[in-house]
Amino acid sequence: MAGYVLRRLAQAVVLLWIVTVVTFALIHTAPGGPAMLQNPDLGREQIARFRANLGLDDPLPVQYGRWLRAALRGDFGRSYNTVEPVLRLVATRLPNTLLLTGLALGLAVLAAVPLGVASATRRNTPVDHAIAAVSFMGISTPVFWLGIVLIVVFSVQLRVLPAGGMYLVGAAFSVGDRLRHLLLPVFVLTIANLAEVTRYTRSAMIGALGEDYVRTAHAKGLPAAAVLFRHALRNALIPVITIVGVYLPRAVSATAITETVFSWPGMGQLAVQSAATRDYPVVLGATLAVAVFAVGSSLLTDLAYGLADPRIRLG
Amino acid sequence: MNSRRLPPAARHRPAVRVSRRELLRLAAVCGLGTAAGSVLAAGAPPAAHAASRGGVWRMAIPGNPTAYPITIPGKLVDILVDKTMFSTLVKYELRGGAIHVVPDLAESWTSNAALTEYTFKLRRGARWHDGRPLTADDVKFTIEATLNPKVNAGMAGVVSAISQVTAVDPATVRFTLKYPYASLPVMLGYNIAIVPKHLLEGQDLNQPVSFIQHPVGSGPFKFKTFVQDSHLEVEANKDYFGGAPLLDGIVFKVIPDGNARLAQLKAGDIDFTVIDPPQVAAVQGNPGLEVRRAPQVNYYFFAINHDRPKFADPRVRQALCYAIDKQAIVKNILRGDGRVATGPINPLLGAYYNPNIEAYPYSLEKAQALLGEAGWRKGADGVLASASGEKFTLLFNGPKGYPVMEQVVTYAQQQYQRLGAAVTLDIVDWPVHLQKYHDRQYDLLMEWWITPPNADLYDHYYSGSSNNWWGYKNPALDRMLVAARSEPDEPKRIAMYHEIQAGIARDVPVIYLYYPPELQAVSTRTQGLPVIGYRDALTWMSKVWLRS
Repeated sequence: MAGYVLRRLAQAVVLLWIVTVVTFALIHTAPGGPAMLQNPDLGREQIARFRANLGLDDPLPVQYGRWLRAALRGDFGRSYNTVEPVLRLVATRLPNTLLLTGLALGLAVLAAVPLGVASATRRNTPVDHAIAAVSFMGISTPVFWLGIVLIVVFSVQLRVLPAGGMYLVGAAFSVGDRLRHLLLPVFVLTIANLAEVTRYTRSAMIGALGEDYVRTAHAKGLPAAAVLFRHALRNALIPVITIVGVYLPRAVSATAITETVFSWPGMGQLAVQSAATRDYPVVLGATLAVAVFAVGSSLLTDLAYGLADPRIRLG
Repeated sequence: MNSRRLPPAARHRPAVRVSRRELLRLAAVCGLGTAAGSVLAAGAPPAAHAASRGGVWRMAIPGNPTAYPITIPGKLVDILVDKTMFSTLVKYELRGGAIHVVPDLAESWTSNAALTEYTFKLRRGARWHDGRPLTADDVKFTIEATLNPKVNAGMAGVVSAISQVTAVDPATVRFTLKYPYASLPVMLGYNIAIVPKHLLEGQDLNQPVSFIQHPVGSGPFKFKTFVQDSHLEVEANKDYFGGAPLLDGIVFKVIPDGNARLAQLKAGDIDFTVIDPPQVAAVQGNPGLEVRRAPQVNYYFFAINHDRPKFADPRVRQALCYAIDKQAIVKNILRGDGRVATGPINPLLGAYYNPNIEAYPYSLEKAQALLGEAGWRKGADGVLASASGEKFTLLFNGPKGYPVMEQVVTYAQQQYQRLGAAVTLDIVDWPVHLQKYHDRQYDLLMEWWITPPNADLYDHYYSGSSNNWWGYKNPALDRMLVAARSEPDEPKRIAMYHEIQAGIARDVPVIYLYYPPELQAVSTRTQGLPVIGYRDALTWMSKVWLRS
């Protein structure tokens, strides 16, 4: 087991290094330069001078080497746009996104499992069809549309919820205030996740219910509830762990649209804005953070499998 | 805006028998009240005696600001917050439909006859937010930092005429120029915010980390807090040399999405945001909001790439001008919010604007005829071709994410296709658009200039000048540009600029389209904010108050 983990960690380091090289190459080959050189009052000579001052005219491998040496010392540079240290930027944004996605994923699983079970046990009945219809609506509704519509209804027209942000500016800290600001973005993200997890649970449950041991359990005379929850569901949960494991890396990167609509200061918004403005240090830092999270959560998921399913032997 | 309210005694009274004593008393009170009212109104904000103090004004900004005026990024949001915290030597005031340069940190200025040396007198009593006095040394430090080649100063071009700054005494600064330059006073008001020498001397001026975290200026508002991605808050500077602000503070809320900004405005969470023409309908009709059309010194145009041989003939450029119905663009795409542009000098420049020049009224026939004279005739396939068989192709660039500009470019494409041009649209992301603009990888490209209220066109139109992005070369115009900006006598200078505008109108360096106002959506409780583009309105925040 220990050998397995060490091998995976070594692979992770190599993988992360490749991610930085590829990201570096991609952002520097993207047309257009850093937004900070796009002040319309800058003339041709000035832009050339600033590029030279910033080291942007050096060959790419030289620039990458400079970045890597600093990064290994823990210095990820400062944002071109706000002069804020990249490490601090990512460290403040990451928890904000994790708060949103953690809550959304948790609520989605909590709601989806009973819905999936209900669907599976009442297959092809109106209940199943209703849940399927809601699921498909959830998958198909664009997040930016749903977000704006909710803001218009609850914020502009009914005035019961805030129109965005994490908290009321200038007011003292209050749990109620934070919860009110969380409500709409978490709802939007939960709906998006709920649909998929429901469908997967339903399929997994149907698969499990068709297994021989279920028929044996019924034959033994076990009550239906016991069969369902003590036997079938626990096995059906393995695919669900897979899904959650696949979602985890997305938890820090797939929220760009929601965060933009709700002005939520998270990783998604950071990634999009820094890419659009070619804020090179931030793009590298944010991508690396997401990669670390993805590699780490993938490792944890595999370890969780090893614990959950005795048939799986790791290494 | 100038709502004068007479004192209560002068209000209309129902017909009542009054004794002579009462009548005399009434007359005395009227007289005193009117005198008091006019004294107050003369030197104070328009409704000073009705203005209330207090309250926090909230404005939306699209990204995180960095409150440090010297270097890039120098994003618009940086400039906006700096306008409330820092002062410039002069600032701009809209009066009588034209923009005038008025004192800010400088109370007066003179120049020598040749316009190569200027002396600015600083006002008494200006202090930094930490209490230290603001002196000529701070001005010298700021300008020298801006001109330092190792400093990535965004505004270096604005003060590039200056060769030396001397602090004659703590309240007097002398600028020695490289060449005669009439526009130094107006340019010193263009984002040249003065910074404190005692806090920045010896720091890395490209990244003065501790100053950025706690900026210190001399403006009507002081830095209070900055929470990344949430807001930047400033509070009133009671010791402001222009008089303590009426507001308690200003909050700049970071709201990246345009629709979210509008939603927060309608929900009452913010007081001000800039909007696009399609959003006007969503704001109008709202009881607590109003749409303001704020004049701005700008012009929108189609840039012509003068490297392309087909544009060498002025008749071709004139034809491209005749083919565009600018009135229709203003009426149908801008919904009436804008004026047809005749040239690079905006009507807000008052006497400098020449209204009597070639206006190119819409005429496809004239356009077709001019192209024919220049050797471009429609072939059998309906596409214009020269005698040698070269086709008239147009690669037309525009920036993505600007719906109004995309509509204008699409309209122009249709018009040019009617003339017989083979038009290819190239609507690209902003960074790519700018790169192609700078590298001249286009035939036509839609862009805009927002400029200081200065008639000098040297930077954009002089052959080979740093900001002459189109490669335009006109030696006769070059001579006129240099002569005009060196002319000390203002009426003569105005006449020269009128001639320059006439010459530009004939030669068509670019196709001028329209001067749009800046569309602002403002809460009706906001009072005293001048109706002018927010880059300038924000320099007057000490006069703004909130109606309860």
